Amino acid sequence: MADAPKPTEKKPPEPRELFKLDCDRQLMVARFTACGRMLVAGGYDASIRRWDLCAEQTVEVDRVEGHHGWISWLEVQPGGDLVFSADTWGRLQATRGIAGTPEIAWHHEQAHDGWIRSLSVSDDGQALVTAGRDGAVRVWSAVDGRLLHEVKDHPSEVFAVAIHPAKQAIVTGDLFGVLRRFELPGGKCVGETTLAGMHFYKRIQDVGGLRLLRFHDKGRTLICAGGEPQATGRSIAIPTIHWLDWPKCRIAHTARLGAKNHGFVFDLAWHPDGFWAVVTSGQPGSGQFLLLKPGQEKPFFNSTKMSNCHSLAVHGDGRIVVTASNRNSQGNGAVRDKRGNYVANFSPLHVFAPPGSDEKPVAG
Amino acid sequence: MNHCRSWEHGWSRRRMLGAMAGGAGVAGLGGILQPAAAEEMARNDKQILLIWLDGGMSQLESWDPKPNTPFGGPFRSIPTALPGIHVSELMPKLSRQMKRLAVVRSMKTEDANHSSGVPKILRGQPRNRGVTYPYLGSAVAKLMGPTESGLPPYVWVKPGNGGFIAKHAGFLGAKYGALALGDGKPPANLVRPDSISSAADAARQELRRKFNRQFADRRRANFNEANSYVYDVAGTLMKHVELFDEAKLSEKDRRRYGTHDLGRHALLARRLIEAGVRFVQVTSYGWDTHGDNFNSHASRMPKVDQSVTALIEDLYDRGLDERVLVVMMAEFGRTPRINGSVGRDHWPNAWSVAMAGCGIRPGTVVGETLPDGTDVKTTPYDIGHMFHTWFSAVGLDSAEAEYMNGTQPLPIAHDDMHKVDELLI
Amino acid sequence: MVWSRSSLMRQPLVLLVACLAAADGSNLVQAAEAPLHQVIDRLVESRAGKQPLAAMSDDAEFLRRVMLDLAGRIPTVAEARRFLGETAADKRFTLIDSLLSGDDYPRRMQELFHVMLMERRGEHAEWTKFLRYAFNQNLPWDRVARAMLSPDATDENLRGAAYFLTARLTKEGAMAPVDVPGLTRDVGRLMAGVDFGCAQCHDHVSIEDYKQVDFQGLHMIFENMQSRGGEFPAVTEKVMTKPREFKSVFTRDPRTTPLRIPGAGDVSIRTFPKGEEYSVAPDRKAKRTGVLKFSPLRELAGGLATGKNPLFARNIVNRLWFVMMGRGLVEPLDLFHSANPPTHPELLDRLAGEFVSHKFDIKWLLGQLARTRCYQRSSRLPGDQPLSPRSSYTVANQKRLSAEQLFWSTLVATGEIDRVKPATDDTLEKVVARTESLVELQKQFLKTFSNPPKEPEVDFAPTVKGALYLMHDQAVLDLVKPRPGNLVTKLAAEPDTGKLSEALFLAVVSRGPTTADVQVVAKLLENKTGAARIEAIGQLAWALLASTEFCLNH
Repeated sequence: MADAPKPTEKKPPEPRELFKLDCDRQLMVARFTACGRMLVAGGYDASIRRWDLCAEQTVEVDRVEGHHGWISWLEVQPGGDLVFSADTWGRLQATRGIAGTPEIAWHHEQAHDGWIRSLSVSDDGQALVTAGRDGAVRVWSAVDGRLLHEVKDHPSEVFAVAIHPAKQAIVTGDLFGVLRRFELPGGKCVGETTLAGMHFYKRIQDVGGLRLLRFHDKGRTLICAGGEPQATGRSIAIPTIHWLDWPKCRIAHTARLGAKNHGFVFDLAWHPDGFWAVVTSGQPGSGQFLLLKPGQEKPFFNSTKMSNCHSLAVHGDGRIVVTASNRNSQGNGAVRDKRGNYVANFSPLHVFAPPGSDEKPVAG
Repeated sequence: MNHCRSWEHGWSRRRMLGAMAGGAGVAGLGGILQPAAAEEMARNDKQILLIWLDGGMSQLESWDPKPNTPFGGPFRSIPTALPGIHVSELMPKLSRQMKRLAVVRSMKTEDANHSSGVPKILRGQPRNRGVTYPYLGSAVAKLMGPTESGLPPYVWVKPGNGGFIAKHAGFLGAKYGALALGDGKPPANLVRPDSISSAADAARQELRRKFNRQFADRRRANFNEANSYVYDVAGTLMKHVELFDEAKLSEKDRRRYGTHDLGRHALLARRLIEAGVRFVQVTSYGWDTHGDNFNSHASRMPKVDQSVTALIEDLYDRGLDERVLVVMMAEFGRTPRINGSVGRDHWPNAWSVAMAGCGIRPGTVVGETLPDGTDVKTTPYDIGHMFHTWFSAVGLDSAEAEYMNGTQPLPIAHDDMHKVDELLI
Repeated sequence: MVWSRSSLMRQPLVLLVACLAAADGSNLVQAAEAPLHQVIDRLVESRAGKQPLAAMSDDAEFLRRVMLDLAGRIPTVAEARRFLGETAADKRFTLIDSLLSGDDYPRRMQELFHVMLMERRGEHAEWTKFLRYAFNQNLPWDRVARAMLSPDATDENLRGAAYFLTARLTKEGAMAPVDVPGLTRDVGRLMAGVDFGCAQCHDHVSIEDYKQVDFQGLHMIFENMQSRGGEFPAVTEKVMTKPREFKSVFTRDPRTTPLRIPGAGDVSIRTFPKGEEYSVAPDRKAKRTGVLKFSPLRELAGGLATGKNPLFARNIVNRLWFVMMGRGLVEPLDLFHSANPPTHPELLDRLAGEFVSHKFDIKWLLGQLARTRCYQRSSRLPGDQPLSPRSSYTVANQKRLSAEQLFWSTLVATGEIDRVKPATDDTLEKVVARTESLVELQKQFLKTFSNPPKEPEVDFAPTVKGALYLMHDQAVLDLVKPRPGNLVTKLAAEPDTGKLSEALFLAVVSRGPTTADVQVVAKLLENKTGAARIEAIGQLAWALLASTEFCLNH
């Protein structure tokens, strides 16, 4: 028995993993629907995957087809019923009734020529912007898919795009780490900012580090996330997030979330309890799932248990889903299972309770 | 770290038996068995250009796409000039050149390591006789010698450092190594300084040769031969110093090939071929895309597309396709299985090699892989088959010609394999 | 005793070594008969049989050869004149002894062993200091080897020997692991003459004697060891508690091995209760590593670098033979096994046995080798007969010169040393160290004429790079411009063609000119005066400098 009570350091609460879903294919992005009943995801098999969270045990339900190649991005309409998805062949699709009987509301087979790398929905859910490898930047009506605006002559390949909550501006991030601001309507470029370090060139390869753009705080802040690439041929980089003042695009705060041999920030989300949830992934496997208080550089929680994390979403009730890869996903030559079959990799989805919650892990 | 470089499993027989194989000198080793064949080869004006994509270019993002399949990756495929044949959307220019190219999609080799795989492929992986075989460039340097130009027969244009790489020559001896031009730059000290007039240079070289002749009289000849040879090569290179003069390049060529490394090096390679170098190799590094494979190939393939197309076009425009064999390959392909870092790993099990030019049947695609790319569906080919095919394309009888390693005759390509007739005219 | 090839075939390394070890004892009895150099000649000549022998070298040929080998440079004109003019019958033997005890010898040996042991991986002042000390003191080779294999951080003169290990423990690049297998392989190659390179993952596929267990039992010593940071190269070892487990990638049978020393066999691992593993405890504060009761490196040093280890003795005498005679008795130098026997088995046995009984005295052995007829033979062929193999030693073998030998020789040949050195007793090295242009010239010579790192400098491998350097580098061209005190200036002042030729040839190629040589000079200088004549003299000097004769030891 201690003589006097010792002061104990209060450890910040950590999110407990509640359960894991298995998806038999690799996923690029997962999101919770606005109503909170479904988890939707897209990945390497070009179908929108859905899990019903309201069933007694979370179960996968029918897929939504229509896409080709990979589903490269997927976003949920805030306050609405639509799910917008884009693929690497250039198709853009809006699906309604995703929580019940899904049907395709509208689509454009060639919204872009090839890989749509990024898709962003306005805060009011009425417009969305897409951009990608073809350098085109297009704003569409969420309701019917009408082309509302277009940026002509964007000079480079776009890796990330975001639409301002007030819908009077869009911002792109390109292969070379350059941010460009365009005013709407009209699509005229009104400014450029280069994020030094988010581009690397060696021999014949450009590596783009600017992978993600998000507006936050009603559009007062622009988040630029990705990494500072260190090499070509592999995905090693210092995972980096910059918070910029909008519209001046001056860096207010930077968090570098790893060493030189880690990777890129693949996804992030604001958690209603007042912190950022971030996932990173690199090569070989330096994945991190971390939680960061605003203004801090060091995360208060960092799990490296999952080897490669590719996307993250926050549910209305505070739960967090992280899509990852299976372990031992690498291997030269033909890696076979016990029956001699050539095995594909897949994406487990890990669902976490919000930090500080008493929720217990679900068995099975 | 695995230090077992299994290519070394083939020890040079000379090394193993030491003195028993007879006094092997430095140069002049490895004669060719039949003198008649040697004469024929001396009249041979064929040349070879090898584009080496070090690290393993992905066949699924180039010659053998499988769009919309479990392992196909994000990209689409595009039709080519050959009906029914598609390539990755990342190589539109090369797709239009398909009528000139021949592609083998059914390559199946066994080594998935770089350090052992690269030398194996470049040596044609012959049957293991305990001999270190020469790289393709050294083999051609030996079998065909320099062209009439007298330029060194094996020149390697590569990023990074240059120098003379003797070890490519294997048992043939240092003389058949590669003259590497680092970043395509001329060897240091190539240009004669103004303080020496060409007459003065001629005078001193003549004296040097005289003194060497005296020395060689009544002495073993090998070392003097090797030493004299490098001066001869130096002299020949000096005559072609304009090859390294960037001012001589046309703006049009620079743009067509691209100002990136591969473009500049490919343009130099064309000029080296035009000047008469027997074998030119261009190496592009960094293809080992275990992570971020798709963004990486999206960035790299357009450069290959641009530079190799420019090369093919120029060779055809100049009528050089009749005597220049072009080969484009790596040490293996990349796995269908996409790993957690969005990358592909090493894949010798089913990959592609492309070629064009001298002796090759244009507009040919040989072999098929399974619809998901996980294996070869048709007859698999090893690198030995390719070596037979390429030697044949440039007029060498790969089944008959032999090297002499001391007193030991050795086949020039794997004796259990054969040329692929479908690839040859 | 002569071992027949068939009896040596198919003997595992262990047995082979045991057989050879037995040979030592019986040969020792014959040592008393005759000086080693005579025994060498008897064995070489008897093996050569009916093959014609070249004539003995003349004095000029011999002087140049032995000075390059033992002093690392060609003779100066003064040294040449002195030796050529010497009449004493035993002048060659006297010369050999004076070179061995001369100032150049330690530098030459340090340069030679640096290239042999480090294979151009890098430089370190402590390592240079160690090698120089070793050859200044003529330390026995076993002691030198033990210093490298089990470095003593407390001895200021010897601690730099650890560089042999630490230079091989550097990372090759950001993503490349440290190449410990490479280190293991090099210890085998350079200390024991066995290359286990391919026996890491399985028994060697083509060399019967090299088993995977040989590699693994040696490798575990280095896996257990780490480079220790600090101002001088040093290593530290962990406590070793259990044997190494390994599997062949071919058979996949799990096996274990204790320490295994090439040429000596297994050493069991001695363990101690926890806390009692050190005889001198490590002191973190004072940065002392402590002394392990069971130190694998110490076991290795003791088991490998000893007269009782036949591989060890044979390796070094083979390499020293190679240095002097231009070819190893076992070739390649690091591939001794039963299917690759020595060309002269009895000779190798004798050399090894004698070297051991003379306590690994390198100076002594080199002195004996230099005294042989074998070494003194001319490199001129005896006649128009068909060529005999280089391994017959019927004709002296031409040898590669190292970048270091080329550099010093170039300074001497062109009179550059005279130009910069005031007439005091400065050593060559001091003169160069205080002359910036020569420090730079030395760097360039080393860069131009060395092999890339990790490529042993054994074969003569001339390069286009080297040719262009001699042809066009301004600093080289300046050497043959007339400058006060240098060769070309001296020659320019000599009006007589005959005397000029003699001075030129003696300076650069260390011999008198032949009649043909004089004719060449005369023809070139005919009717030339003033600047034109000087230019022509410079051309002659350059042509000799760039000649094959200059860049080889022959």
